[in-house]
Amino acid sequence: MTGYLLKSLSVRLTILYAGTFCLSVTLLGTAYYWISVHQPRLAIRGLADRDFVAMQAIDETSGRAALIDALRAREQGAGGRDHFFALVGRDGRTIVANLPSWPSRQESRWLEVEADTFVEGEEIDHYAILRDGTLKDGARLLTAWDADEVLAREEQLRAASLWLIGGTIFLGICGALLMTAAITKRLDAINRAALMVMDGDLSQRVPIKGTGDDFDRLAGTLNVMLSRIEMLFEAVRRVSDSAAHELRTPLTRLIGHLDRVDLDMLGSEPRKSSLFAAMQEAERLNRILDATLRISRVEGRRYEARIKSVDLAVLAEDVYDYYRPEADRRSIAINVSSQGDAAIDGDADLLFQALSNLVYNAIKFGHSQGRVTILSGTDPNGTFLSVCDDGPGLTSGEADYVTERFFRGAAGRNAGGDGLGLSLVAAIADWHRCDLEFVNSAPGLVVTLRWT
Amino acid sequence: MHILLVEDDHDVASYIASGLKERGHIVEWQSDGKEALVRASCEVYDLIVLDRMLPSVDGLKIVNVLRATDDRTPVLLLSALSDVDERVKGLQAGADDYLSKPFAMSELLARVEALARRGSVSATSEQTVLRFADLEINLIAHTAQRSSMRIDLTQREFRFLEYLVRNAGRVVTRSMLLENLWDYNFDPQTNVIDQHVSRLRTKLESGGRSRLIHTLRGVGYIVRQ
Repeated sequence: MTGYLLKSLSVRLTILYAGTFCLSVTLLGTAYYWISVHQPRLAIRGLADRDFVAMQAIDETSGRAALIDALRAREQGAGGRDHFFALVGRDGRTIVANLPSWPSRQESRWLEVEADTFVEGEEIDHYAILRDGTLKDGARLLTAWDADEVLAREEQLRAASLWLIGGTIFLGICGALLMTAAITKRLDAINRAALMVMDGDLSQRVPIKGTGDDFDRLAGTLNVMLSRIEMLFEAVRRVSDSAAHELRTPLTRLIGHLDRVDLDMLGSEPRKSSLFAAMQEAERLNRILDATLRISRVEGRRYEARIKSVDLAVLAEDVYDYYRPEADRRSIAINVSSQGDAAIDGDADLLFQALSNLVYNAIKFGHSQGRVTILSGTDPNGTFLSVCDDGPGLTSGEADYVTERFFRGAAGRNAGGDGLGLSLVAAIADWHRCDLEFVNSAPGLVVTLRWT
Repeated sequence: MHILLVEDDHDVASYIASGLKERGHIVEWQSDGKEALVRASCEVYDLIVLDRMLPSVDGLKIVNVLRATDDRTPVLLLSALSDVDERVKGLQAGADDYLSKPFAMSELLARVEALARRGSVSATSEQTVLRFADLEINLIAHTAQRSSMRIDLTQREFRFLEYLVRNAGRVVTRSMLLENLWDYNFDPQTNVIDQHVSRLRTKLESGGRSRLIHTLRGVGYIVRQ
């Protein structure tokens, strides 16, 4: 199932499109975060770090008192609300500070803390990025810069990202489905046309939208190909049809001439026998011609069938009825049995013909005193109609060719026949979209028509 | 019989016409479909032998028009289109019989005579008992007897015998038997029909009774004394 899904172009396209779309949006979002949050944060850290380093230098060069003065001076100076500090002695007592609060113990080098200020009794919320470090003597110095804007933006982005991710996935999948549906629709149209052509309707063409897009170009090429195939088929059909007609006329005359010979004028019995033999050969030629034309009509789906529900069990009885005298003559017992209901939609004439050909073969190739079984029914594999004989069966090489026109197997060459019976059965099976199976049953052969 | 022959091929037409004339029929030949239609509507014929493919009008069209004007003259369609579906189309159009080319004259004559008879015996088709010589067939009880001796027949054999006796004295070809006794249109490929006849014959002639079903070599069968 997974394998099939991955093989399906539409599924692959959907995944590819949705994936690419989500990846693009993720990249864009990351870039925006980088520029609007990460970089400014680094800049503010830089400022806090610069303050820390400067104050540390003052502490080291000029002593603690100078540092305390410098810190106080900064507090008074311009932009006092942008930056904060706190100096905590080794004993943990605050020496000087304008930060409202800070962690009692050093947790990490960088912290983000609240640094609210009060102006005339009014609290102003501030967030600051804080550099927490230790001076040479173990005193703790914290320098901080206001990062309100950056952190607020980060918070907004965080809140929005949930919606953003959900929206992106939703839009990605919707877009992918829409795009895939558009492509699949065009592919399906091509597929449908191809299937109808396979069904024998060579006049089918792939629809062209007129937008001149890649699919239209593909459809155009396919249509030219189909026209060419149709033309060639038509040419072959014309040649074979006219060949058949051309053969028919002399054959009609031949039969006519033979028919007009006055039997009484022939006199001797050998002459009469020759005449009848000639007549039979002419009729055989006619039968071969008819059968060939018929096979190509059924194969090409030019046969105008009358579809109705056909009970295969009844059909089997009728064929049995037809062949019983012939089977009796050869001392072959025909056994007709059915396993459950076996009704299918089909053309009764064609099906009778197919079964008749199979039963005739079974009688022809079966042993004298033998048995032929016609079985119809429905099993888990579908509805079936089979003919089983006890003849020589098929050699492995023959099985592939038995349905070819004029093919006769080793047994068939001695038994007579034109090698067209099974070709017609195959054409009829194909017409009914059912499988034709040949299985050796040692001894004998089972031929099955199966509707799955 | 007065027969209208509609056929555009001169050779085939003269072959058919001479065959029919030898049997004593009067044949009027038309090569054009439209002309034939005009003739058929102003003259009374016993039978029309009509080619399916004509230059101006399709044979099927002609049958259609005839039947639409309530003309019930029996029509025998001839056609080079031999397949089963074409035959069905011809019969559905209103033709009474369909014969595909090429055919033997004997086949055509047998069918012409069967059609001519069909027109005249329709009144007696309500018969319940058919008799021929010492053979008696009861159509209600589905029984047959010869000289009051009952003959055991299968359903199919009964229909077979009925058909032959209804056409007693006339030639019945193998394909006529096939078309009239099986509900399927198919190509038999074999002479299985002969086996049916010989079986029937065995039953009818057991006990040294005289032959009723005679074989006409190369043609078919005939029931006669």
